[in-house]
Amino acid sequence: MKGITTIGLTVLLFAALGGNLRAQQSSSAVQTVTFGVSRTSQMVVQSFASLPNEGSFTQVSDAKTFQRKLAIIPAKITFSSETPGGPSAGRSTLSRQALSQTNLLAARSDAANSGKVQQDLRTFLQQNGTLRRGVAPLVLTITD
Amino acid sequence: MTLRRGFGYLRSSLPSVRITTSIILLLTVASGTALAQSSGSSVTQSVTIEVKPITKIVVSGNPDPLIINDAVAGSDFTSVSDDNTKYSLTTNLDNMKIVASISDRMPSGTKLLVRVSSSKAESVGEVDLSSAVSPVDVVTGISKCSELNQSISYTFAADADVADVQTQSRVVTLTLTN
Repeated sequence: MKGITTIGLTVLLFAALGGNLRAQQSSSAVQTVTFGVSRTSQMVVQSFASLPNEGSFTQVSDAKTFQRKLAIIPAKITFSSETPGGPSAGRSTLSRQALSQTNLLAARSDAANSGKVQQDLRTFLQQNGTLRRGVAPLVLTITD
Repeated sequence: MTLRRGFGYLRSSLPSVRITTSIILLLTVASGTALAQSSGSSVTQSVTIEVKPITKIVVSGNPDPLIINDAVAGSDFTSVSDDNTKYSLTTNLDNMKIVASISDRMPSGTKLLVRVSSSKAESVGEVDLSSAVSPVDVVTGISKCSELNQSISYTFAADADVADVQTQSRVVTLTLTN
């Protein structure tokens, strides 16, 4: 009786193994995926609000944008101004000397710094900029 | 004289002897052929046939390097994609699927996504393989069929705060299985 049971169990074991082997059908193919991140930066300033009154600065509309991009290359932003007409034309809006070579930010990408960027820029412009009537582009440059 | 007469008879009767001989020979050959045909000879062969379960999947090669070297200002993450590689498969089984796995986890702040298309089964869509060292489904519901040159699309994405990732590779395994 014991022998019969052993044979029965052996048969069952082989049947189970056989069934298992037959059930597992597969085929594989492999691909190698190569990737990397290069140092990159891109800054877009949508628009600054108009500066209607001398000495007032109202808005940095896209501070968050360039603050985020700064996170890719934690670096500094250099401000300068371009005055198409030149100072002699009486349309200078920002002091070129005060704005150049100013390392304002080395921000990281987090929510707290987003507001800080905007405030820093506003403060900087209020302290160093000589705002007058007129329109001139403000050049923001991301550098190492 | 008698002898001459005998040879003359023989000479005159020769054509009929030839005809008789020819007929006998013809009959002998014909009967031999008939005998050969009626006796016959056959051989038999056993031809054994079977169709084994078949699962086969191949890919057309490796995707182009996925290098992020530009960004969109204001975007939380940047990405690049490649959909130049294809796969083909054949199976005579039902309830099959394609699963994908990656050889090693992706670096922190980066993602590797894959989308495996299928014209005869159901693509799961874009699947995150970034930490899929164990296989995850990418196509399900494959029945007996063959598919040729189906698209594989890879997307590599990096968060905005990921500065520099040296070029490196991962092996992605696509498995047709049940």
